[in-house]
Amino acid sequence: MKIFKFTSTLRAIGLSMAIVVGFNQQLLAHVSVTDTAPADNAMLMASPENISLTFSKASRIVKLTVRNRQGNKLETDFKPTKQAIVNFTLPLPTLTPDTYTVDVTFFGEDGHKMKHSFSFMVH
Amino acid sequence: MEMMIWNSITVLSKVLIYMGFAGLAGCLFFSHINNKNDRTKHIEKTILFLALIASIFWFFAKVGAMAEEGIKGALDKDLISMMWSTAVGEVTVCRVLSFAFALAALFCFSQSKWRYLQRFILLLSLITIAYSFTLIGHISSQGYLEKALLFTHVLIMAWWIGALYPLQQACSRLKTRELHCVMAKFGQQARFMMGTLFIAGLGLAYSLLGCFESLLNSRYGQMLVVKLILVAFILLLAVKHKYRLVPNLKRELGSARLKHSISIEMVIALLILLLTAVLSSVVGPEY
Repeated sequence: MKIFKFTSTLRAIGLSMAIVVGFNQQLLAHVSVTDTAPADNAMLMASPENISLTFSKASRIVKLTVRNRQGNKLETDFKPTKQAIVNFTLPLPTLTPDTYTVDVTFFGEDGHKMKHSFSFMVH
Repeated sequence: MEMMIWNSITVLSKVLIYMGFAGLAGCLFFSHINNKNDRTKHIEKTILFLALIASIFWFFAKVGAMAEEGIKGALDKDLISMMWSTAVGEVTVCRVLSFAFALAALFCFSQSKWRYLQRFILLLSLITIAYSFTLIGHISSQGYLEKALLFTHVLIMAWWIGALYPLQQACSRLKTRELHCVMAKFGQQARFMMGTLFIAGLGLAYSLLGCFESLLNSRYGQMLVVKLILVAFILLLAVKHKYRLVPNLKRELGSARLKHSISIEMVIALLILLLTAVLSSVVGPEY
């Protein structure tokens, strides 16, 4: 009886080890912003014509705001993207010299809420 | 403040969904223990109904948290349609339909001639809800092995927690000899189930955390340790049942202490469900 229990325990430990070793430790990947234009902390000599975002996987954008240093929100033509997209471009009005912060709320196919923020300066 | 409200609604909805899932497992595997007890049946139906409502609330809490614009944001037509097309929508459909079918089966097929059909619908609902756990959260982006482990893990948890209420009720309804038979049989099944639960849990924890340091250094890891401590308490109670309280039944020493001990188990189980809801909603392994 004791031998049987010992063998069962060994089997359980062996199976646990096999499962643990069998994992390929993928990243716990929700979607993310992989690239922006203008880049984060960019110093621009002229007003950019667009804001562009690239996502790691197809995403839907819920919110996008552009604020100046005083925190005032700029008027843009942004509308939530109903279709999932990897690249997104938003035309901008002409920006006066200032520091601008872009805040984006988006989600991927898993429906997990993600946020990204980046800033740039127009001289 | 607003996010705190949405997160609280999400966590509470999840706890009710977990309870409904466990209640469903209880209906399927342990209803024969108290099959003449109307009160037990009434409570089972109430829990399933609450879980159905909670599944709908959970969806709107996810939309509201995404919008961050109060109730108006949670009811935004465009955002609802955007969220509906993701895994959140799929999970909601799976859970709402499963709880609805399970309730319909309990109400419509309660006669003994329909028993097999009722059990088939309950089993299908249970499997669908277990599957829904693999569609969302941190495991959803991983491979089939991790999903299979989560599926097994949640099914066994439902079986275990779902057994507690019927067993607790059985303590006051069954004769001690009958109760001894039921508890001894449950103990035998639990031995195999606990081994599988342990292996699946170990695999899942490794897949989410990656290394032992994360268990102690991350907030997710620390909360997981608290959950493991609570699980260890329940296991200690199970050992006490097996070696002291259940053998006492055979000697006709009464079932009051066993009932009290199962009630404590139920409170700990509720805490585990609450912690699991927080771990899977508010605290992620990537933080």
